[in-house]
Amino acid sequence: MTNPRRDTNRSTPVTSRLGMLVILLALTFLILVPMVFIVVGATQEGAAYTSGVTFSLDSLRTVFTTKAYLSSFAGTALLSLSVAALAVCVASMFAWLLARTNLPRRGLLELIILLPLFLSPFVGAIAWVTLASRNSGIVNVTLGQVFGLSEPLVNIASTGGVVWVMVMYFIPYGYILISPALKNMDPSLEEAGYLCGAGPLSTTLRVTIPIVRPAVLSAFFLVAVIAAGVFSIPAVLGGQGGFTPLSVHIYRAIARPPANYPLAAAVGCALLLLVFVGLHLYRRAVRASSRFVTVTARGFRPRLVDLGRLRYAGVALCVGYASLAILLPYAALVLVSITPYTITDLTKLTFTLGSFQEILTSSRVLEAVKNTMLIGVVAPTACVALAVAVSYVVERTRIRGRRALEYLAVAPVAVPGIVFAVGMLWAYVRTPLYATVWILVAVFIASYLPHASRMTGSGLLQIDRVLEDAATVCGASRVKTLSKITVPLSKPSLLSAWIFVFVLTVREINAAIVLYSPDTMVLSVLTWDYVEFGDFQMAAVAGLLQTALLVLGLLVGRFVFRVRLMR
Amino acid sequence: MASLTLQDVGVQYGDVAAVRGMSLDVEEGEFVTLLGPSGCGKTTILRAIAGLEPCTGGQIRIGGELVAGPGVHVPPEKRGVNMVFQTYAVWPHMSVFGNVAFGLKIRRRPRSEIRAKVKDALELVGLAAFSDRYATQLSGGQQQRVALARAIVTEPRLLLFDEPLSNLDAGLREQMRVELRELHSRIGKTAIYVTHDQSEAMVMSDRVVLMNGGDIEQVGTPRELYEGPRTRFAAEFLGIPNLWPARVVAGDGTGAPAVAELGSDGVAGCRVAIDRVKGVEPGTRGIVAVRAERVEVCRDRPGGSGVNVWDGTVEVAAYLGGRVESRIRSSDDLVLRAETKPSLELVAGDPVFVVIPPDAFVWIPTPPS
Repeated sequence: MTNPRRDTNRSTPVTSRLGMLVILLALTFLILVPMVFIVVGATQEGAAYTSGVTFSLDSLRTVFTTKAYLSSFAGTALLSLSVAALAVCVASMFAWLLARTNLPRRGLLELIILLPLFLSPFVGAIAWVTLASRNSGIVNVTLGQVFGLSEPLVNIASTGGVVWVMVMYFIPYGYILISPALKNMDPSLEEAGYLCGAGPLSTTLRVTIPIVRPAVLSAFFLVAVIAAGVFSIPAVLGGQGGFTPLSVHIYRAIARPPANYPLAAAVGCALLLLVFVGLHLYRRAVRASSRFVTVTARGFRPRLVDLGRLRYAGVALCVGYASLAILLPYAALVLVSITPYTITDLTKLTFTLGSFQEILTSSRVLEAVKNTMLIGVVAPTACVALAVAVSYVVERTRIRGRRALEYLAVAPVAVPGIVFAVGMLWAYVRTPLYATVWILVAVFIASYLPHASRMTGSGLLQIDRVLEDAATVCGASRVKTLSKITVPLSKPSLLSAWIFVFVLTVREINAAIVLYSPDTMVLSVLTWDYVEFGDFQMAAVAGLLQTALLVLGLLVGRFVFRVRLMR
Repeated sequence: MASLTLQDVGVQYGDVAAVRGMSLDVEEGEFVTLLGPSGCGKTTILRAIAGLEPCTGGQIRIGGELVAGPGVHVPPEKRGVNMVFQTYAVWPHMSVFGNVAFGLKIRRRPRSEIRAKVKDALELVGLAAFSDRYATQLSGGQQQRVALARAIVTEPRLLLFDEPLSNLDAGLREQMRVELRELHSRIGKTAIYVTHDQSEAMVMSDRVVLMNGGDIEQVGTPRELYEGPRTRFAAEFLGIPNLWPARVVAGDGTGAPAVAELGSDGVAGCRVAIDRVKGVEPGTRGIVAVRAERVEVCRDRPGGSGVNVWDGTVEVAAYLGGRVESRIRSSDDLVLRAETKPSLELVAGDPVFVVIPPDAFVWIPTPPS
């Protein structure tokens, strides 16, 4: 220690600047470059994988002037707005029932309402085809038999069907956004209503609802934004005569020969435009909601509305939702997967495990399972590691440029998976990365970084900085402090983030469908393949396999690592 | 163990100066307390000494070595100091042993040495039996001892304390004061201790640094500070309730008490004899301060010289167990706060006599402005 200040003074900034550089490079290649290439790709002509592409605005012109695309644009907007409206209405009702009334077993009911968050909407859509398709759906067949109907009762392969399944899966999203506003609302605001002589109903209508309106509005726009980018549900259900949403147009531009990558990027731009408008409105709604500061530190239990006998109707609503979103679809999937023929009569069924045998011995399936598991382990791990690095730099250092990191890390939230994947394709199609498992890993890391970094960031904020200061004065360097104190202490939030990204990754199809290759098949894409060939029995089996993997991951997380899944 | 020198140290947050140009010399082995109200910059300067806050001006030297100055910022882990935090900052994911051993493990000391040193440190704070417990299983006082053991085990050159006792209950706090003081005399480390509690500062320190608004108000031994506050802020912060603006009217230098005139709120012409204004130029303005316990209260007119005697009425008397605090208004409308023995049985409305000996007054000259 002859002259410690010279080396310490230089080495610390150098290591942190180096770390910053590594993170910045990772974010640039994972996020910035693909996002730029969405626009770049849209202004090209020719096949992306050759070097013979030239600048052209033809694709963009086609998308923004042709009637087919313009009506798809309007239709997508309409679809996502109606899905958001319906989902948010139902979600608000559930949120009110579970936060403000004396419904019995509210904890359990909340759990079953949130459960669909962890399941795959894509598999759900397949299940609803087996339940309610026009000709062979179990519901139509059974009801037709019982009541002697000649015409099928319901048809899931319609725009209405698409809305139905989407609403089913977006209700929990609405719920988690609206419920906190109701739960954290200062109860004295309602009490003041009661004391002014207003009954429970008029207090709810005149006080509670206006106060949570900003939260409801922001939930509405967020659900609309996510719904606009969903590919899997309309792709599975998009029947004859219905309209084709933009996401499906993107898929077709890539999957139907001759592949037209510029067109895919151009449609992606249109979809992005839609999403940006939605996000703008969402941000305005959020800003409005911060005007209504309804959260207080006082721990009073809010007064609950006594529903009387209506309580049981409330429970029935929750249970009914769970049956439609989980029980019925998965029962149908199981039933279809073990019956060898199309179901025509529920009283005369033959059972076989043949399809399971077939699928479990197929090398293609085993390959897909292997890939899915590989990606399901690598992507969440890398994603959470990057998220920790980003949130550490943002929350705990004063390095210049950390705000840029933050913006980059949350940017993918504004880009639908299928659009982001098109950007990824354009950016890396001529690199060795393309057509490997690693490009799938990369797209998942990028897509879920916003979610992961939000979770790790809030976890980090909960750790008192003094705990880190204490390590520093004990002689630990920044890296040592991070690895010995910060990371171990934020383990719960890291594990939650890991499990969350794992779930999203395993069930993901919107981006995988663009970037997979025959050698890098994953379970969700394999399931899609069966759907494309009309083999819904095999699709059901593959979907169940994927669900089994998800449930296995969740169970391991919950019971081995004791992760809190709901926050 | 080392000396500490602060030279013109400033810490600035944006436009706000938390510490402005602070200079202080602390000798080896000294126990110095930074005392002041919240927001006076005492914790900030402590963190700057530790290297947890960057200095924006001046120099800090530890043992003569420059650790902070223009273009120099030795990071905290390289400064060879350690700190006990207000919230203890005991790591919840490690055992007591793990917490204390952390600094030694970082230094890659051999395992046998770590075990021996941690054992010594835990014995020193009386926690040897708790080494396998986790922090969450310990009481506040025990956690504070863990933090202390963790800080001393790395044998820092400086030991820093950031209000370490403020989260403890009153009884434990007094016990820990004595223990900390004893510990300091045993290990003889240079220690800087931050507190807002003046009695804590009095009990523990060799010297007290009174801070106000990011700067030093007064430095001295506890006795010097207690008996001779040099500013109105110091007098108020150190709990002197009787403060009157005054003007010296006569000082003859013959040994007789000099006289000052109290002149607050229309109490003109009340003349008192004050030892400390001997030799002060007549006409000088200042503040006279008297501690409540130096105000003598009796029921009968006292004999003797008759100097500085008032007759008055008790307005408020508050019984506090060991003493009675009272507010007395004299017949010439001077309001005095006094502390008396409970045996005097003062109650509101009692007519009393008040005597203040000439040596009880503290003279605080008002800076000419």
